[in-house]
Amino acid sequence: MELQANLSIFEANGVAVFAVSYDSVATLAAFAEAHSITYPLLSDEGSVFIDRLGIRNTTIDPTGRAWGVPHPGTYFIGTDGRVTDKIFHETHRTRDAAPTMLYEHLGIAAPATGTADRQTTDTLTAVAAFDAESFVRGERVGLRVTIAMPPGIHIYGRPLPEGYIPTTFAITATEGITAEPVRYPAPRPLRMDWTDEELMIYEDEIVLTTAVTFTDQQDDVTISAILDYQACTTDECFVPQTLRFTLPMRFHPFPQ
Amino acid sequence: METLTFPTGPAIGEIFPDFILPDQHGKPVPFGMARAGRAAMIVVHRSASW
Repeated sequence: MELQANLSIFEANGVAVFAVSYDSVATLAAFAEAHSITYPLLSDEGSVFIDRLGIRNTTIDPTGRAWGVPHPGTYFIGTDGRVTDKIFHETHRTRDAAPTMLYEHLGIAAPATGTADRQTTDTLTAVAAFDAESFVRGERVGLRVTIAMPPGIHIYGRPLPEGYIPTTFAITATEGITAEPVRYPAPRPLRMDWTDEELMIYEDEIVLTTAVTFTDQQDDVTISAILDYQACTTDECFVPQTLRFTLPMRFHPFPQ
Repeated sequence: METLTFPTGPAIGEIFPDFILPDQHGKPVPFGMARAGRAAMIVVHRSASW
């Protein structure tokens, strides 16, 4: 299982991992055995703790076997015992890839294990990579785009005056997936000698982040994306570029 | 952020309630003691069996 595969990264960063469900100890023992799970799978048979948290799913049939299940979610607890962050999704099908949780909620940049597509031009190198190489149905997987520029080169952020080209990363619409808006770092203002305009720029290295949820995707899929940018120095601007990325992702049937 | 139509338990900044639940070996795990001063991630699943 993916959490188990990333367990050493959580532990190396001082984060203890626990899972809770309403299953019996016997069910959890079988599951742990089948998937070689070593972190604690805690049995809340009767959903007493789930009720204490107040997250029982009350929209389902109270006479069915699913009665007692929670709205699934994840809590991050600080060393002082306080909740530092939590993840809940409106649909129970959405689950976050473990490396994406590490990156987004714990600030731990686990190596992206997805296929990386590296594009190098005269003015920069851009690497796009998913946090994971495979997905299960409904999984939300982070995508990071690292753009590295040599000294003296900058590209543009927002807002920008008319006529300039802001750096834009866009995932091509693909059936069965949902891409989130891209998150850009804060650019810094640059004032040129030859203009009154203040331009917002990026230099050195930046990381753009987004995430894709494989909502209804049940087969291997290749995600396409483009990066538009214009690189400049303080003296000149180069021809605007569009880089195209292809990122294959492998479908992993969820083990039942 | 997604708009959620259900409660999600303790708010950010609140103390997470301590608890004792048995693990997959049947051994009681007191959360506070097992955490032993470390940060923690608690994943609440629907079920391991379906």
